[in-house]
Amino acid sequence: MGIILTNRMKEWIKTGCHLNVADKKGIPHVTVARNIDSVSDDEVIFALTRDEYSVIKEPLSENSWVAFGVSGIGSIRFCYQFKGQGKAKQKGDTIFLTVKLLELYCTKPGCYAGLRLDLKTPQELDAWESNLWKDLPKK
Amino acid sequence: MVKLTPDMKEALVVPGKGGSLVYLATASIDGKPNIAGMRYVATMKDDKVLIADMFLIKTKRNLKENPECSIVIGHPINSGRDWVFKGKAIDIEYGFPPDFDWYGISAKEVLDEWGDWHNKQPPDEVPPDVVYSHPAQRGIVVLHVEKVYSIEKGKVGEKIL
Repeated sequence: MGIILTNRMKEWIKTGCHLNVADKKGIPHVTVARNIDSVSDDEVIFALTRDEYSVIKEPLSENSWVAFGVSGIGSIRFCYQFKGQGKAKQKGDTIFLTVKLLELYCTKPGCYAGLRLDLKTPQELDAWESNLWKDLPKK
Repeated sequence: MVKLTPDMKEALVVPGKGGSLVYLATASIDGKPNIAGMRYVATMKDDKVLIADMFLIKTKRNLKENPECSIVIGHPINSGRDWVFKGKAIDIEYGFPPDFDWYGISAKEVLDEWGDWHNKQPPDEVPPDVVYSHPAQRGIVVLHVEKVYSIEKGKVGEKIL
């Protein structure tokens, strides 16, 4: 079906994310993306610095899966995990990591933990989320 | 051998006690990554980080086939606590033999101290629309830390321990 991010999701993702990429041995490598270049309906482009990228450069060359959640207070206020396929491209000192979103899970403690949400229609997803949360990150 | 610093131990307690929210990162054996936020965190001895197994699903499955794991400070970020703790983890569940050993600590000592975490450190600080009031704890994830690196701005990836 594919993911269509809600407006709330887009706003929270823009605040920054923790990214996990596993190498071919299954070892997870975590970095942070403090800057987000853009967020569209089904794609996020992270603008990574060289040091942020250095942690995931090798594993990403072996395995393009990227999982991420929102950093900071979003790690509890914004209870989602996103997964997708990532591809990096360097322009100057910035590495643009494009992640095409394929899977979305709820991570709220309780009955919704682990619920797969990318199988919902965009309207269903929007309604499901609105029923639980409406808050946006503070600017 | 890694020895967590006092600052790290202070950071690795529940947020209501001055600690941090953390991300628990794992991967399936075929390399699909997973990352989920956790509130119940603590340390034991000098090189173990503990996480409550309350709502773990994919994390639990991943750890049963691949012990490679990272625990990362998620919140607050950019606060001098920008660390990633990396090593091998296991989910010590009820039913493990009491003398089961994971890099120097036994299932009994872990479960005796942290087996009723919700009552020991209730989630009073967690917002009402996120908290779950009746968690069923199934075990405790124990990470044996082998390496610590930085996610501090400008120093991401630098080895600390």
